[in-house]
Amino acid sequence: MHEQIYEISVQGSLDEAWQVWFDEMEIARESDDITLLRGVLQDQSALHGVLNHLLNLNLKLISVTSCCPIDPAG
Amino acid sequence: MPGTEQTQNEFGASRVLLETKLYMPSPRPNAVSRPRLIDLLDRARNARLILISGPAGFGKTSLMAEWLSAKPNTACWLSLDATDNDPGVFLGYLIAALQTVHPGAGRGVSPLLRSSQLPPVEDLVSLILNDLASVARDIVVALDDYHSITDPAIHSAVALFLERMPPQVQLAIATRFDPPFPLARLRAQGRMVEVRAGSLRFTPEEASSFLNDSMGLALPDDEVLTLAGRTEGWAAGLQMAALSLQGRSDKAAFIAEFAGTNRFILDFLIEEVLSHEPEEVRDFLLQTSLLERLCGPLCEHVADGELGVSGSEMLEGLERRNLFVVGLDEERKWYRYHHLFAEVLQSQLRRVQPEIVETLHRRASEWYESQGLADPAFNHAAAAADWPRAARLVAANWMPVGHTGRAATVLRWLQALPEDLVRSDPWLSTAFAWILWLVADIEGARERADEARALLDDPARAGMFAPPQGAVMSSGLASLRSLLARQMGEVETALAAAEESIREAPEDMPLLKGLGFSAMGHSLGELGDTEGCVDSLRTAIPLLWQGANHFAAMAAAFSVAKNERLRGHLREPFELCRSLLARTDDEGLAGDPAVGALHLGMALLSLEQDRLEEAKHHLELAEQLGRHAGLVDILVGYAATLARLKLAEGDLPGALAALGKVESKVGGAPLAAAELRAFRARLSLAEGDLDQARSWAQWAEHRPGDDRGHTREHEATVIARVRLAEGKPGEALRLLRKGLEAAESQGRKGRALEVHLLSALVSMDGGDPAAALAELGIALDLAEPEGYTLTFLEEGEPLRLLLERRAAATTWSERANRHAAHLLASLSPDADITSPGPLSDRELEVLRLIAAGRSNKEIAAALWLTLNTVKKHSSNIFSKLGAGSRTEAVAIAREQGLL
Repeated sequence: MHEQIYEISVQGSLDEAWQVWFDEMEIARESDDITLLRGVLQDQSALHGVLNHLLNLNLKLISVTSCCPIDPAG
Repeated sequence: MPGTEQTQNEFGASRVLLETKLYMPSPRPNAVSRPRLIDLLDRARNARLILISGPAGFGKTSLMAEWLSAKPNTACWLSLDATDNDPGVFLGYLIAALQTVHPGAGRGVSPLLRSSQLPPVEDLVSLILNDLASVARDIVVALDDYHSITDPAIHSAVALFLERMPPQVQLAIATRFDPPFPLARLRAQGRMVEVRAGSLRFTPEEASSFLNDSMGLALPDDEVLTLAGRTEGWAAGLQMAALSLQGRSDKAAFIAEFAGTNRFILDFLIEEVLSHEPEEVRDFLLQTSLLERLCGPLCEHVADGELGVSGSEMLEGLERRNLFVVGLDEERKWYRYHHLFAEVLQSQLRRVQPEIVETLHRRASEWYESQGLADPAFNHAAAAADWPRAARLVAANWMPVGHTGRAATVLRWLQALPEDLVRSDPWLSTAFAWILWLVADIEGARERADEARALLDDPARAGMFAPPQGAVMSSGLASLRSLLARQMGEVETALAAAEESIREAPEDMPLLKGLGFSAMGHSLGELGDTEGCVDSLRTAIPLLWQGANHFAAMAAAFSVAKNERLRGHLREPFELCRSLLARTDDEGLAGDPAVGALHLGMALLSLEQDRLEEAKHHLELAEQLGRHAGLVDILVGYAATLARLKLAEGDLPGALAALGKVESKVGGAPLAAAELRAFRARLSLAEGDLDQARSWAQWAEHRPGDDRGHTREHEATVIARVRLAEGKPGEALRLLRKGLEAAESQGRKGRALEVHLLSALVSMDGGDPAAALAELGIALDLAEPEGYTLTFLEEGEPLRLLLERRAAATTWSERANRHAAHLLASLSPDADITSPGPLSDRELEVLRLIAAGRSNKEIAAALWLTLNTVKKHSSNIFSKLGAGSRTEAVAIAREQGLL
């Protein structure tokens, strides 16, 4: 499986302090009450790792979307 | 290598943490009681599973503890964490927990957990469940933090436990996400009660009770509602809010600010709480945030003397103030951070002082190492990415940990180390090979063993490992390579490696010498040198015993029994097994699964002497203790001996089932698989299924592999039987003569007597009674001194008829005649019947089929009997009716109106 770009939105506003926990994801503010984690994840295991982490922090998951796989050549 | 440093600190040291795993948290004095949820749980008497499932910080643990604290004597508790993902570790803790309410639980399983190769988990669970069947009162088994478990073997063990547990047992699980059990089915059957996030949320009344009664905040209702709303009843959020509010004069302003912020609640609140703490507390929290468990001395070591107060005082203070920590034992020695707070604290640490994270992990690793706790020491070293340290810990601990039922833990260590580090270190590669062998990954073990060997042989590294270290390594590695090669049927390689192992073993290490001799013995056996095999194994046994590898010693004793039987000795090897058995009792090894190998040896020998009850007794003990010993030789030996016993009892389906059970387990070991197929072919003949026997013979004659060894020899005698059944006595005789030469020249009298016996039957079939009697006389003469009996009885009626002619034998020795008389007495079914009685129902059935012109084989198939049993029935019929042949019997029966 190729790497893919994932966008995970969670309820609440995470400040930049959380960046250390989500190395591979960029934390962006989507709206007042929604935070977007965006980044390249290697595979399904990496995705589950991030989701698991959100669960452990009791963050409320709103959506997970994946974009086009990254072309290794490009 | 197995046993080198057994019973070292690790097992004892893990007891240090045992109490913290089994400790049921006691409710805080002023905690909020949750009667609506407790009622729900109390009413769930018929539920098998109580599932408390919800995200972190929802009060799952507190709820489960509050519910169970009302019934302290009937509940046991196990707190799980990620390091429990090893079936051996998990089951060990589960048994320890069960024993707190039912002292006898899992007593028989504990020794199995300490054996190097863990038996199948489902078998262990079944044994535990057997023990629980006798529990007289209702008990609840509580598993907390079940989400920590990721090992599928543990999930299936718990699912099996849940499915089969006796009605007086309930399972309660607290977890962040649903376990992979058939929950929908349990739900549909009404056999599960669930408490999920929705019900775990604090209602406004509960929030008020908590904020005002427990925390003494005296908030008006609207403020309580605001907080409950903002936190959505999340217990952790409410608790943090309460902590932030304590001692504030501007409570209303704070609540308004909190309600207005969109920040992640915990993030916001913890910052609030921390900002009001003195610096020394903040430093302590950050510096110890990486620890799974906390105790005073550990905290002090990790903080490296920078604490103002003692570690345990600090922890006690935090607990008193309800800040972040949870007590893990009665004495308040061990604590842990609430998981959520630990995560947030760690996040702060990584932001504020990222440069000290590795140092903190390294110090934690040092402390755990000094306490002899290998697993947490390794985990912290790995988290510090201090690979030299991590590798050193693995090198020092893989033997005691890996060979006491926790191979999965060592495998996790080895997989965590950087690949190139393992692949460039011969000792770690050796460890990897052994561990893979223990978890039955033969291919992987071979690959690693070859790599380790190449590293040791690499001239560029010469001198890197000074003797004795280098010698220990190459000797241990060579015996492993020998083992692996023999399983693959590469016997010459196996022998060479065994010789190397003995040569390299330092004189003062009996274990290594013993492993080498044991490997050599097994290899020589495969090469047909039975005498050399037995000699080597006899040399190995005391060395292995001295080196505390009782498992290998007892497995070697079984092989001695097997090979001595081929050499014509039954009594002496029986004594060997018996004397070792007596030693296991003296040395407290009675429950060791390897003892099964001794019972198996005794079963095999007593069975040959036709002592069926005794054989049965030893086989049952072997089954209980050593069925899972894992070594394919023992698996096949067990199956073959059981099949032979069943056959002797006239139970052909039972014999077939005995072989069928192990067929799937010998896939990776071609030689053992061939041995098993030869036994199976013999049963095909007993079934009268000549086609299957013939197609096996076709396969066996062309299978690849060494041409020597007792597997080949065994196959040759079975092929001879197939040829005889096909009506090709000439071909059968030719095969037997060839086999006889090898057996006689190599001193296998036990094999030779079987070949002479078979030759006698073949000659008789070929119409040469004189030759038949001569062969039989030799067989009897060889058999008499040690009492070989079953080999003869298995031949049934044809042998009896031949023995009846013994008056014509002129060359028989006195002891041959004596043995013949003895056998004839056993073979004559009416030996104990003084006057011919009426025919039994079964005999009448057989008689009717005889009258219908059916052959014995057809009758056997029709009545689901063995050929031998049918022959016994017909000879009974003949003697009861006084008939000399089938036609005469039918005629007499018609005369008497029986037909």
